[in-house]
Amino acid sequence: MENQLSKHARQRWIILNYFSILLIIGFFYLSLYFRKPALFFTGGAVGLVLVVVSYARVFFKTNLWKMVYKEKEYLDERQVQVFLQAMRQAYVVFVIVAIVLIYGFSVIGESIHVVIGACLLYLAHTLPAAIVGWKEEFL
Amino acid sequence: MKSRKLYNRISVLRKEKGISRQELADVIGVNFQTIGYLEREEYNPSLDLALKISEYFGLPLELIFSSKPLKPLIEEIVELKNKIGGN
Repeated sequence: MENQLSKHARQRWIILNYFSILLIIGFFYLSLYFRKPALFFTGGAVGLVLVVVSYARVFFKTNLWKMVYKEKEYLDERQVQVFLQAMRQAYVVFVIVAIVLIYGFSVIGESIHVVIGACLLYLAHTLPAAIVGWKEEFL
Repeated sequence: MKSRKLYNRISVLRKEKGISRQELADVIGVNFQTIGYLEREEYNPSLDLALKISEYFGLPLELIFSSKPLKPLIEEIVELKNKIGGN
């Protein structure tokens, strides 16, 4: 089990993963504001590398992502409970984030860019696994 | 509904049998981490899983699981013997 991480290590990687997503969004809006697409391509590339590295470490190598999306037949009763609860919590968090973004953008009169849409999809897809990784002592 | 804490003797019985968590997990069909959660009393098993555990150890459910903190098994057996002997 050399690919397993301690709970604290997992939490650090999860923070890095979502921080990298924010970094990509930040560089995207900076590039729009300063009208310098190169800023997005360089900063976004750094963010993307960080996302890929942290994703690989915390979700892929630990099998966390695979575990959360496994069929019920391959999980035991405790795992089913843990993953269902994580799905429920992820749904609540995602809905709140999506509503805040939709209202926020409509208030400032801006349209939601494809980068935000892509990041929201990524969030929806990884959040259940991130919640399990964040809360569970052992995987 | 929040379920109450259940105490169990899985750890003692497993060590007595000389098997690892992985081996017990394989026999009763759960992930080996679930055995750890059960032994630390951080997870209450379903009736089906509790029955599988009791069948595996060949002991009645009430000797393995309890809603009250459990005494050492030997004390419980002595008490049971005394009860039977007293009747």
